[in-house]
Amino acid sequence: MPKSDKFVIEAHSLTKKYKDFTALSDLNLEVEKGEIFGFLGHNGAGKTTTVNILTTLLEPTSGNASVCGFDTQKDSLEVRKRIGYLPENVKFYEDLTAFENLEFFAKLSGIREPKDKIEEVLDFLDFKGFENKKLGEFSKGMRQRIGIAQAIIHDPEVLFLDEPTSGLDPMGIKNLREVIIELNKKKGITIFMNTHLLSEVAKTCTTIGVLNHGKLIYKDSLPNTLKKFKDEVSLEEIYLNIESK
Amino acid sequence: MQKIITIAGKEYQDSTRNKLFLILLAFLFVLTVTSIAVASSDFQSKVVEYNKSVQILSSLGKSGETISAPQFFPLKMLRGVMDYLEIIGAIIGIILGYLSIAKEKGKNTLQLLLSRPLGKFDIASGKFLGNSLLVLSVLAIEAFTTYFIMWSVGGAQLSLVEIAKLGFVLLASYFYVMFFFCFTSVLVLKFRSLPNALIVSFVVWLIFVLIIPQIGDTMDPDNQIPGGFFKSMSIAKPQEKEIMARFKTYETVRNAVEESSVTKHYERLSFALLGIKDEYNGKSVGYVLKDRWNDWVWVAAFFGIALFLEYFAFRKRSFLNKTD
Amino acid sequence: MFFTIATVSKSEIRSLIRQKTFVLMLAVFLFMASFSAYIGWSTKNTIRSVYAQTVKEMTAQGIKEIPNNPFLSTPPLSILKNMVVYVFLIGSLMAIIIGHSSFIRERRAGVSKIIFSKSIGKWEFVLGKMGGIFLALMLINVISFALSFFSITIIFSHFLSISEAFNLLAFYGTSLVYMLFFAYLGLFFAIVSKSESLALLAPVMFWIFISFVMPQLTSALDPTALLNPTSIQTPAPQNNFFQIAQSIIHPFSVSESYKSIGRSLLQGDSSSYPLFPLVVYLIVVAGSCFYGVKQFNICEAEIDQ
Repeated sequence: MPKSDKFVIEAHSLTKKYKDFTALSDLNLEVEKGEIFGFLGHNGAGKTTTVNILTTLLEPTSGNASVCGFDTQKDSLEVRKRIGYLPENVKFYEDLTAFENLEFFAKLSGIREPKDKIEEVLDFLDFKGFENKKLGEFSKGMRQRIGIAQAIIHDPEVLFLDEPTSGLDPMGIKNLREVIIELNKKKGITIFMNTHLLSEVAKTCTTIGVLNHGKLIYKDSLPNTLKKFKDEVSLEEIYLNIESK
Repeated sequence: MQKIITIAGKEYQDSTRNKLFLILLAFLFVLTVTSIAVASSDFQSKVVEYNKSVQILSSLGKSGETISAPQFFPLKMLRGVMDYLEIIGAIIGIILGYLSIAKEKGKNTLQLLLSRPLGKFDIASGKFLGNSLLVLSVLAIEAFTTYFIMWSVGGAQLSLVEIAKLGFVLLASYFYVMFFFCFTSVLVLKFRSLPNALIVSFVVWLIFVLIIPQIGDTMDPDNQIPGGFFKSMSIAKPQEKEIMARFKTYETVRNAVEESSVTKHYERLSFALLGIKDEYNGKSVGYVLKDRWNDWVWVAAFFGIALFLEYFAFRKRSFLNKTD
Repeated sequence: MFFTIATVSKSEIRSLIRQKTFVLMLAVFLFMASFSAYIGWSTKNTIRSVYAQTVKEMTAQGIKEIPNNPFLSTPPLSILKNMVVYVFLIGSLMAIIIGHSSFIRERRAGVSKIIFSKSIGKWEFVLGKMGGIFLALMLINVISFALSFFSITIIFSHFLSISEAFNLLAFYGTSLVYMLFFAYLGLFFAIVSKSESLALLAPVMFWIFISFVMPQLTSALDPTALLNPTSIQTPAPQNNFFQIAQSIIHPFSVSESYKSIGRSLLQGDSSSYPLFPLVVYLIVVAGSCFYGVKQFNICEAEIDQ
């Protein structure tokens, strides 16, 4: 049963341990509906582990989390009906065409006749004309578009993006940024984005959270953050300032 | 030469640490020991039976020579062992060939090897040498185990001629196993996908080792009835040959099917050397080798061609690009 | 739920048809299915002539008591007897490859994370895979059945009676169960193995063990005898080792069980085994697949070669 209307993502005392290594330690986090939440942290800070737990792919060692009001462990299927997910370095069936890949994933999301939906999504992403090409022939930027397409094809309420700009050229990054903002504004999708590209956070996100060694050390809206650290020249300096504290 | 020996040493070490290879080796030894132990105990009971009969006759005051001594050919006991070498020996060759190349290709250590000041064929030679030594040691242990069981369970002694014959069988076995080694190495070098190379090797193994000999075997009219057709008709061997001579075309086709498989040549050669084919029993090494030269040529040719292809595949560095 | 399972099964069959190695193995198998009828027919013709020739020779020698043609009473289906060996050898190995490639596909493509972020459960996914494998193998056996049926009708000019057709159908049904066991074995190792090569070699090791090691330990038959569809089950040598080994291992020797059932269906051989060891094996390995996928770590699903 849904727990709350205000927050689409809630995590309470979330901990994940791998033998002796603690990837996530007592994480408490809330993300409001309609936000574009930028989740920052250095490599190995625990960002991907958090996303894996929130998308139900991984079970926490302790603590709990809910997405759209559903518990990620007890109601994982309900959660998955409401989310879209773009993993880092997204991969597809290389031997299938873009259309076949999207058709397969759409059907797994329960869409019985996905043809029209695929056309609509590709239209929205301005990516028509490539449907019948095999994914093996696609560039990184094109794959990322198909990655977004598969993530939004079932009209999710929340979209999880894990390092979405990784490996993209400047033009690819710009296009992706536009798509993310449009998805948020036009379709009202809440976006949770793992990244360490601070320039993108500054241009895209409404709220930021900073994770360090598995602990959330900072969370506030972007305007507030800029206000709080008004002496710093750039977001990069703000980030380093937060991390050093 | 030092570099080749270093590579060979690593090959030997890597394979002896590989669990799959060790499991396969365990299978081979379990099968060998069971098969030879059964044959040896059978052999021994026949010897005991004969000695008993002689004793009874002597106690009755008759000469033991009145019952002719059965012909004991201990090497015949190796029939099962040879069958298992045909099947599992070939798989050992495939696994070694696969591991030898796949471990470098899969982890991209081939680039590291190639960045060293090595001669054009040093890697190929090192790998071939290391695996040759490994195969030879497996075969030597196999021969020793077999001999030990034959001697301890069956009480069989081997003459110098028989030991020499065994030596030639070992050599043929080496060619046979290394054919599969080289062949698989070539496939793994050439294929983009390592598992696909392995699957194709197994398909070839299936065709050469099991299907072709099986077709030849089941096409044999004498094999159509348990115990043999001619036996059921009480027809003797010379008459059987006379009758079958009238079916020359059919027999030629059947023979051609069998001849297309390296396994069948290896089997014919080793069965002749070990006297499993009765007509070669008691014949000299020279006679058997001369009579089966055709099979020698085939086995050596299959091995030689595969070895050549392996070196050929190593000649250019382009195989580096063929990693998935 | 059924819809998502069916989607996975459908995608499974599509990907199999596009795979070169699968097509190669399928071609070998179907060729052997047709060829076995030809071999049977050609051998039978030859053996008739050999018998006639033998009778001639014997009559010329003045032998009066000539045994009856031992092939006179062989049932028509027996010309397909090689098929038992081909399913035992090629069919099972092909099944391993089908099962293996089915789950490796997702792990190799690196799409596990996307798949399990959709509204499909792990067990639904593996059920879809198993369904796809079942359908693919069923299709292969149906084609083989048709090939056998028509080759007997055409080459042998014999139209199968209802009971013969039923026996042939039962033979391919049993073959389907046997192949399914190996396919699910391949699937299981594809789920639990860390490397793709290991995932392929591990079931092949099982295959060698089941096909060659077990029969040797229980009956001491030469491998050549194992491959000859004519040789009947011989009793194990009378010594303690074999008696103990036979009592322990024999009920589990699924390859002997399959060959025996196959022979009795095609040749009217009476030394038959019950089907249940095969079914038990199938259930155990299918259960293992569910257990394996339950433990499957989606976040570390990508596989090395």
